[in-house]
Parts: sequence; C-alpha cells; structure tokens
Amino acid sequence: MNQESHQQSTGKQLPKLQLTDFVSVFWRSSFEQASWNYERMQNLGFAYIMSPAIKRLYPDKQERIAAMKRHLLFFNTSPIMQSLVTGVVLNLEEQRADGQPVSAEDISAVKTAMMGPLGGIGDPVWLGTIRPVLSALAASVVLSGFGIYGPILFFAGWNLLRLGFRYSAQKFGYQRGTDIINLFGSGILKVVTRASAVFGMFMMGTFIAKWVRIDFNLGRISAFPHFVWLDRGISALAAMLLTIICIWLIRKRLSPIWAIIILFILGVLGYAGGILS
Amino acid sequence: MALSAWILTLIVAFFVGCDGILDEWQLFQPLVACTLIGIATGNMSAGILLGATLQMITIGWMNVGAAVAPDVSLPAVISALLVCGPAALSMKHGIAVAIPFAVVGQILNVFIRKRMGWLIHRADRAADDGDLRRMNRIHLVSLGIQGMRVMIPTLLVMLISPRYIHQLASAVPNVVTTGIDISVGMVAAVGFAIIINMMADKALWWWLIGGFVLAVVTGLNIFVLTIIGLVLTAVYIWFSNRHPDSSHDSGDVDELDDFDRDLDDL
Repeated sequence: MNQESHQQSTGKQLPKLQLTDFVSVFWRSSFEQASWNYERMQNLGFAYIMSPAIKRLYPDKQERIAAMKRHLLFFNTSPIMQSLVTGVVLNLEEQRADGQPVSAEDISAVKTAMMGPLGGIGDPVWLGTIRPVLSALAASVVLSGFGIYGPILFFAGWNLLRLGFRYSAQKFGYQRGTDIINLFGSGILKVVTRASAVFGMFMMGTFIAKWVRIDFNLGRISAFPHFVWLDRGISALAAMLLTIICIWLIRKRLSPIWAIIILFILGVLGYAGGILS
Repeated sequence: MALSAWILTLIVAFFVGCDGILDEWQLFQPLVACTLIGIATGNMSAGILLGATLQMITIGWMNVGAAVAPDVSLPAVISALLVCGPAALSMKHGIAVAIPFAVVGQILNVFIRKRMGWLIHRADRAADDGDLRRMNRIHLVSLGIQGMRVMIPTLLVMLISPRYIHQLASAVPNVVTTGIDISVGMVAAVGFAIIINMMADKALWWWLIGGFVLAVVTGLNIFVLTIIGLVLTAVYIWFSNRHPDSSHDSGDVDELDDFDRDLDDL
C-alpha cells in the first residue's frame, strides 16, 4: 500500500517527455546560434533548445534552476550536428528526472565529449561539401536560363536534407542514448567524412573547370588564331593555376577579402593593359 | 518604390540578417537573399541573376568553429537592393558594392557577438530565478538584434536618393567597372580555394585533379558530372571498405597517420 502510493506520487512528479516536447525541441534547434557569443558560444542556444524538455521534466523549481544552469555552460559544435547531442541529452535528462543514477556532471561530460568530434565532421560535410555543391549546381541552373528554379532547388534541397537529418539525428540520439558514443569509434563517421571529402574535392575540380575563368585577350597574340583548339586547354590550366595560387595565399593567412580585392585590381589593370577582355 | 515594396524589402532584410547568424535556413545566401529582394522590389529576374553571380564569389565563406568569415547577408541584400531597386545599378556595380559591405557586415557581426555577453549574463540571472520564458525571450531578442544588423543598414541605404547613387556609380570610370566585371571569373577561384584548403590531404588532390580533367576533356554538363561524382564516390567507399578487413588493414592505418602528419605540418 505504502509502496503503491509512493509509485503514484513519483509518477505524478516525474513526467515523461511527450511527442510535442520532442517536436518543439526539433523546431527550436533551427534557431540555435541566435545568441552566439564569444563568452560561451552556443550556450544559450542549447538551453533554448532544451527548454521544453526542462519544463516538462523538472516541475520542481530547484531542479529546474539546476538544469537551466548546466545547459548554460559553454557549448559549441557544428550547428546541424548538434541535434545528435540534443537527442542524447534528452535521453539522459529523462533518465535523471526518473531518478536514475545520472549526475549533472555526466550530462555535461557527454555534451563536451560529443561537441568536438561532431564539429570536426559537421563543418566539412555541411559547409565544405553539401552547401557549395548544391549552391554551385543551383547557380548553374540559373545561368542555363531556368531562373527561379535555381534558388528553389538550393533552398528546398538544403532544408530537406538539413531538417531530415536534424529530426532523425535527434530521434536516433534519444533512442540510443550514450551508446552513440560507440559510433565515434566504429569508423562509420570516418567513412561519411571520407565520402563527403572525396565527392566534394571531385566536384571542386569540375567547378574550377566550369566556373573559374581568366579571359585572356588571345586575339592580340598573333600565333593564337592558328591554334584555337589550344584555347580551352590553356584557359583551363590557367584557371587551375590561379586556384592553386589562391590556396597558397590562403595558407599564408591572407584574408579572402584581400585576395578578392587583389584580383579586382588585376582585372582592372589587365583590362586597361589590354591583356584581359 | 511603393511603400509596400519598402516594407517588404525591410522584412526580407530582417529575416536574412537573422539567418545570417543562424546559418540554418540559408536565406542569407545570395542565391536566395537576392531573389527575395528582387521579388520585394518587383524585379525578380535581375535579383536571381545577381544572386547566382554573387553566390560564386561567396561560395567558400563559412564560419567554422569560432572564426567569423566575411559577411554574406548584408552585401547580398544591399547589392540586390541597388541593382533591383530604384537606383537600378548595373550588375557590375552591384558586384563591386558587395565587397565593402561584406567587410562592414563582418565588423558589425563581430561587434554584436562580443557585446552579446551582456545578454548572456541576463540569461544567467533568468536561470537563477528558474524563469524559462525569460531565458527564451533573451535568446529571441538577440536573434532580433542580428536581424537589425542587416535591416538598419538597408534602411539607411534606402534613404539615400537613388539618383545620387546612380550618379556616383556612373562617375566610376568604365575601365574600373569593366575590369571588375572581367575579374568575377577569377574571383570564383578564391571561394573554391577556401573549401579545398579546408579539406585537402594528399589522396584528395587526385580527386580534385580527376574531376577537373574529366570536366575539361569531356566538356560534359555539370549535372552529368555530379552524377558521375556520386557514382565514383560510392564505388570508392565500397572498395575501401572491403579491404580493411583483410591484411591491408595496417597499411590503411599507416596511410591515415601520414595524412594526419601532413595536416599537422601545414
């Protein structure tokens, strides 16, 4: 009798996460970086995302305060990969609210352990491969004369991928909990990173051939009219050479803005001097 | 420009500014932002074309970790406004205008990111009181501030007389604008260079060269090349995953260590 009433009271005090909380956390995750700051980076963003769960799991004021504070600690990762962290943390918070032996330090430690590797994967995959490839394809759609379909392809394609990934990552993390950490050692992430890097580099090669152009005024050089067939190869090689020079300049820590300004100046001088047209 | 076009432009500028910090929806990428400004000002096709051109310039600008890249959202909105709006600048002028605004936007962004500490401390106090709603509100207020970061400069540019802007633009000598127009093809190299620099290791260079040579020699359409790229990647991953189980395993590990060492050296 006594035990039963205890169970009843704990059942009331310790509610489970509902589907609405899960969806609300998912929706909020698209606004993570709003309060990005140099002090603790995405800390408030993470707390903002977690807040429906905190509200549900910790009706008790002291516990709620503690939960808010632990999610306001330093946090920074690649934004889209953060959904995986959120999923695992939702799982842990639910266990903790349920009275399982999960300490506040455990939760913070899991966040810290995940944010580094995920940041290292997320930025090259999403910002280094998917976004440039999608946007360059979309720009090609525009220049092929299909106008509005370019921006639509880019916007819809990106957001379908992003939201689909965020939702499934959050769900996966929530279902598996800390088992996710095993994934980090399993090599799957390495394969994904490798595949994206390989594909990204292949596409960069094609983009350099298609998009980078140095418009030499070849007509000025009298030998060229006889070797028109050389033209395509030579301008392609020049494009590759220019890209390699830019990589070198960037490794020398030249800011991209300065690189662009230098190229603008070269363009103006080249046009004035009749080398470019 | 009609009042409704003014208001629409400012609303677009606000949302683009918000997404500029979020880096989620990609409304702030020129391809989308310039199109939206084009729609707001009633000159969509110019907006789309400008967006596609600016996109190739800003393609590699990304905020990785805590580093802040040149801003994309502010230049996209301002040049689209100047090209599609009543100032009716030419595309070349729009591109030239984008670069200084990328720097202005970056400075504003860093400034706000530094000052944001003040709001974060208010969020700490909300946490002391256990007040979730106040904490959430602080997060959204900072989003609004980032929206204002693009909206207010846009408003200021809108207040300048279009005729004056047009006069200024036509005062720039033709050599300069045509020279800048010519160099757009070269500037695309900078964006690709940033991306390649981020990912490059020894084995990947062969993929870069492979894609490049295939594109130059066959002259195939970019969409066909994308499909070829996807197929080649799948084949590569399939093969490289079949081997590690056999005796090649140790070889693979050595190779990876080499990459790591190379990356450390850089």
